[in-house]
Order: sequence, then C-alpha cells, then structure tokens
Amino acid sequence: MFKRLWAVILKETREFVRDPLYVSLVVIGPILMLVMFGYGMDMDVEELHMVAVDHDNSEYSRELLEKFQHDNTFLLQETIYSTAQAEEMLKAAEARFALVIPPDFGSKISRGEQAELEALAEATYTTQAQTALGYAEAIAQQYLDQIWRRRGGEGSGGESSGESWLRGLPFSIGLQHNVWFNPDLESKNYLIPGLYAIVLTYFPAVIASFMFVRERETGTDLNYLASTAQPWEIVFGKAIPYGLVVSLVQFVLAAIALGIFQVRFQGSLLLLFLAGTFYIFCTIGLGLFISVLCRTQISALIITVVAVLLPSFMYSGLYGPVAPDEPLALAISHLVPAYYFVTICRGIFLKGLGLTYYAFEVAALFVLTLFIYGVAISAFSKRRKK
Amino acid sequence: MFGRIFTLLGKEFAQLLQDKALLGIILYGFTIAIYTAASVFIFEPREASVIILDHSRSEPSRELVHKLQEPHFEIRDFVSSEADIERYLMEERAALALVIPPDFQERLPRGDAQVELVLDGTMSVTATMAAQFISSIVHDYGVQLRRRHGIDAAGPSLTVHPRPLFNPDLKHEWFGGLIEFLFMMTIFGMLLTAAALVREKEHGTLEQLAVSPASSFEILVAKLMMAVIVCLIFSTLSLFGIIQTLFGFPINQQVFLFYGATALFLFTMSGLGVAIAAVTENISQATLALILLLTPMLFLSGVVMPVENLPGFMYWGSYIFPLRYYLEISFATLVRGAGFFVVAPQLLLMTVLGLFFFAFSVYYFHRTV
Repeated sequence: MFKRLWAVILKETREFVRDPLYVSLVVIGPILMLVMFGYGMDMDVEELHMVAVDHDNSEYSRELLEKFQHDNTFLLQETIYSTAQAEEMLKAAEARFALVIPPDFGSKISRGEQAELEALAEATYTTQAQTALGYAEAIAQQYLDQIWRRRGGEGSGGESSGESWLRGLPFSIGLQHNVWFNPDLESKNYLIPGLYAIVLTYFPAVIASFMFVRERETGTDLNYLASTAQPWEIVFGKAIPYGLVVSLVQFVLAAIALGIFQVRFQGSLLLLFLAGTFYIFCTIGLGLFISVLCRTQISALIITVVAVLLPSFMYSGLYGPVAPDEPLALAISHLVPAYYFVTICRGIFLKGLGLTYYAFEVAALFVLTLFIYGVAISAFSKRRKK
Repeated sequence: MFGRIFTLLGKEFAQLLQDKALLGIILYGFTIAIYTAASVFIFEPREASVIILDHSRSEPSRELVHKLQEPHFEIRDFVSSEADIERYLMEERAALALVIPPDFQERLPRGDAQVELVLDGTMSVTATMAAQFISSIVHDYGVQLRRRHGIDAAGPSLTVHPRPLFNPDLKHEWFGGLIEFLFMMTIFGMLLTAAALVREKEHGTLEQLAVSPASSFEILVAKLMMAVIVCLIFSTLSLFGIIQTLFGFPINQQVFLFYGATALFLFTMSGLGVAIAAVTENISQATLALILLLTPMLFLSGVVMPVENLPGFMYWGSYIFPLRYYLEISFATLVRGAGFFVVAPQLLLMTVLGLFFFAFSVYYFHRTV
C-alpha cells in the first residue's frame, strides 16, 4: 500500500516541479507577503495628524502645544482658532485629532486653578482614537508636572520622567516601569511572529485549494477517479511533496523575520521549524478539502480567502490576545487553526517557551489536523463514487 | 442592444445559481462573517488584566490597589511571589503586575515610596495605556493622601475631556462590521466577474458567445452587471440587516452618495478582475495574478490602520488599489457624514481607474476572442 502512496507522491512531485508558475508562487508568495505586511502593518500610533484650536493663545497654551509638537505620537499640522473648523477637518479626515484649548487656560494655570482641555478624536478607527486620547492625556499630565516643577523651583532635574520631581514631597509615590518580553514596546515584535504564522496559513492553503480543482478543470482528475489508489493515498500523495517544499520556505521566512525586521527571538529555531512543518500540513489539508468541494479555481480562491484568510487575520489573535471573557470570540478562535499557531510562534519568538508550555495548542492542532484530513478524504471518496 | 444585454444577464444569473459552493460562501460572507466580525473585538483588550504582588499588606497598599478598577483594569489575582508573576505573564493570564514593596507604608510619609509595574511588552497597546492610567492613579492617590494629612500642596490641575467624534461610545462593532463588509465587497466585486469569465473560457463557451450576435462590449457589460447587482443586493442586506439592525450603526447620512460610490467601486473592481482574466493566458495564471493583487489590497488599503500609517513607498503604492478610495469614501459618508466635495477626489480617481480597466478589458477581449 505504501508502494501506491509512493507512486502518487512521485507523480505529484513531477507535476509540481514541472509547473514553474506554481513553484514560484509557493516560494515567492509567502516571502512577498511577509515583507509587505511586515513593513505595512504598523499598529504603533505615530505622527497622527493633529490640529490645535488655541482659543487662549497664551504663553501657557503655546508651551503645551510645544509638548505635543515634540511628541512622536502627534504631528501638529496647524493651529487654528475655531472649534467648528476643527470638526470639519476631522470630518474630511484632514486631521485625526484636535486639541481644543479654552480661552481661560493660561490664566487658570497661572492662578493655580483647575484648567480644562478638550480632546477630539476622529473615531472611525476606534482603537487608534482611544490610544490617541490616552496619549493626549499623558502629555497633558507631563505638562502639568513641568508647571509644578517650575513652581517648586526644582528646575534642576531637567527632563526627568514621571513624578520624580515630587520626590521628597510627603506621600508622593514613585512608579517604576519594568517591561518584559518586548522592552521597547514595538508592535512589530508581536505582529511579525503573528504574520509569520498567517503567511504559513494562507499560501499553503490557497495553493492546495487548487490541486483537485485544477485537475478537474483540465479533466485529468478522471485518472484519479478511475485509479486503484485509495482516497487517502491520493490526498497524502498530493500533500506530502507540496508540504515539504513549503517547509523549506520557512527558513527564508525566519531569516526575513530575524534579519530584515530584527524581531526579538528567544526560543529554539528547531522547535519553530518542527512546529511549522506540522502546521503546514494542517493548512494544506484545509486547502485540499476546499479543493475537493469546488468546481473552479476562482471559486476555490474565493472560499479560501473568505473562510481561511480572513478568519486567520481576524480571530487568530494577530492584533492582540483574544479576550478571555468573550465566549463568541473564544469559540471562533478555537476553530481557527491559525489561532494555535500564532500563539505558539509568539511564544517561541518572544518568550522562548518550549512546546511543553503549549501542550494544549499542540494537541488541539493535532486533533484539528486529523479532523481536516478526515473530512477531505471522505469528501474525495464520496466524489469518486459518483 | 439592451435586449441582448438583458438576455445575457439572465444567462449569467442562471450560471451563478448552479455553483452551490460559491453561492453558499457569498451568503456566509455577507451575513455570518459580518456578524462575527462585528461582535468580536480583534484588537488588544482595552481592559488590562492585572495581578497584584503586595509585600506591604498595609492599609495604604490596599487602598491603592482598590483604586485599580474597571473599566480600565480587572484584577485577576493576588499572588505571593515574583515567580507567580512570571508564570501569569508567560501564560498571558495577565498583562501587567503591580508590585508593592514591603516598606511601602513606612516610606510614604518620607516621600520616597516606590511601586513597580511589570508589563507584558508583547501587548504594547494595552501596556502603554495601562501604564498611563496607573501613573495617574498613583499620582492622584498621593495628592489625596497629602490632602488627608493636611499638607498644603495646592496648585494647578488639568482635566482632559475626551470627545471621540462620529462614534462617541467608541463602539468597535461598527468598525469591525464595516471593515468585514469592505473585505467582502472587494473579494466578490473582483472575483465574481472573473470567475464567470474564466468558467466560460474553460468550458469553451466563450467561443460560442463570440460568434453570437452579441458584441464583446455587451458580453462584458452583462458580466459586470451580474456582479454589481449581486453585490448591491447583498451589501444592502448586510448593511441594513446586520450592521444597522443588530449593532445600532445609524445609516442615515449620505446614503445615496454611498450607494453611488458603491456601484462605481463594484464596476471598477469587476473591471480589474476581468482585465486580469483577459491579459493572462490561462486560468492558473489568472488565479495567481488575482491572489498577488487581492491579498495586499485587502490589508494595505487602510482597513486596519489608516493609510497614513503605511511607510512612504507603500502609501503611494496603495493609490492603485480601488479599495483605498472606496474605504475612504465609505468611512467619510457613512461614519462621518461628509458630503460630496470631501470625497470628490476619490470618486474621480476611482472613475478613472474603472473606465481604464473597462476599456482595457473590452479591447483585450475583442482581440483574443
């Protein structure tokens, strides 16, 4: 029986190698996607276009705006004098953020009273808006610290961070930050290991999804339908040579992540490749299953994009850990194979965890893979019986 | 001419109805997929889960911990050692840990008390936000203690009133639902026509069409219309039936402008799909070209973050993606209620692209068939 499997593998390998178009997509696709998305997907909120509405136009308000100008989060584009105009600018997306300084701002600060500010954020991109509002608040507090420091005559400290200027004042509490795993808080460090996992989900699946359809389109699938090879032999015979080629692409992908993007890497490369190879076979199975169901390559492409690519992006925890208190989110992400592999990759890259830490993810992937191949094989044998 | 287009259109629909897998995925994409994308928050949680390591176990330390509250924090657990912190952060059961040293209470009156915040940097957004909130909580607590002990440290204070416009409650559901909607429009807009054309090519029925009295212009128009009509029907279903009805997104501004832009976008995307199907020699080439164009377009047109976030060369490169214009138009009209003049440049550029793709495909189609 392995003789027949071997024969199928040989045939598939030969066909695969003979098709330069597919080989190049298998190799170039993932690399291109990792490089493009690695550069393009930047979740750091930086240089957010901002306008200031300075009704006060005092020494104090200008000083506050200077703080915004020096902060990398905002890009102060212009100072205007009408709140309505600022709202129009946000409406037209000419700016994403506006700071409104009321006319009495400076006088209240100088008299030692409570001053107010209004922060307007264009909230289409909800997460970005929320981050921007948080940063604005932090900058305002820094400015206040500066005022206090000046009042206390302790200007010697220079640009000291946080509340250190208060030190010595009874009941002031210092706060020390200690960032683990990703000390510079760069989004690339958690996005790229995730993208690495997504790339290994999408391309293997999308190309595998053409395998049966392509034969169906050219009519060569009749050979298989009539052959003595068992359905499982045909499915594995297609998956194995292709999976091994994609496994080699992993090395290039890892080299890009570490070389070009300089992502932190704490774990073992061997472990990453072993887990990756197994995972590639899982996603190929997914593609093969879609391939059995479809009539044309384009509908296979549509189904793979809608049912594999989009869920992998949305529910794998690529942008952040899946909220543990949302039952729907948890349920969906546990059905998405990418969820487990994103978790594993991020753990290996950033935390240097061994596979034992991920016993659950590995076991779940294993079960999913078995299930996927099970349905793929049974769908294929059903089609053959027709 | 219209009679022929109409007949061809009927044929297109009959063919679409035969492809059960495709029909199923269209229905799924415009209903269930949009519902789940709107319900599930895909970004880092806003509420940071925190664990406390309180060596001090004093009244002020408890009081400080008590101030870490929802909506910004959720206290997961009280732990007893540094090793516990490591375990919780490693296993992502908490995003940050607050460590209060044993001498916290004694040092407080002297003014050199310190607390330590351990953050999981892999959740950079949560970590940054949480650090900001904790810093102001700790600061406020100091002020409160001074006031309680009658120490005069009066001075200016500053309140920032946040006012998110166009989505005042920062409902992620709206954003999640809309971006999934845009994904579906892009995928089906581009691929339905291409799929129909490729199917003809491979069944050899394209030659039949070519020798029929219908001109290549009419054949293409019928195929484009099929995709536009299908997507318009389903987009109405998902916008009004799901995003508005189930998630309370108000669709009452600039609806006509939005629909006009939607039809134009679908025309452009189908044109692009057909242009690709026309220039490539066989189905495999067409499919590969579609993948290499569709994948970056989906994610680098401002869907997750605004296009301004793209690095320079990609920002300029994204001008070739019709989705970029459509996304800007959709957000401007539906969310922000901006009028025609705000979106005019995008409309114009999209029209140019659309006409170009269409002319190109008619020309190529005419030549090859």
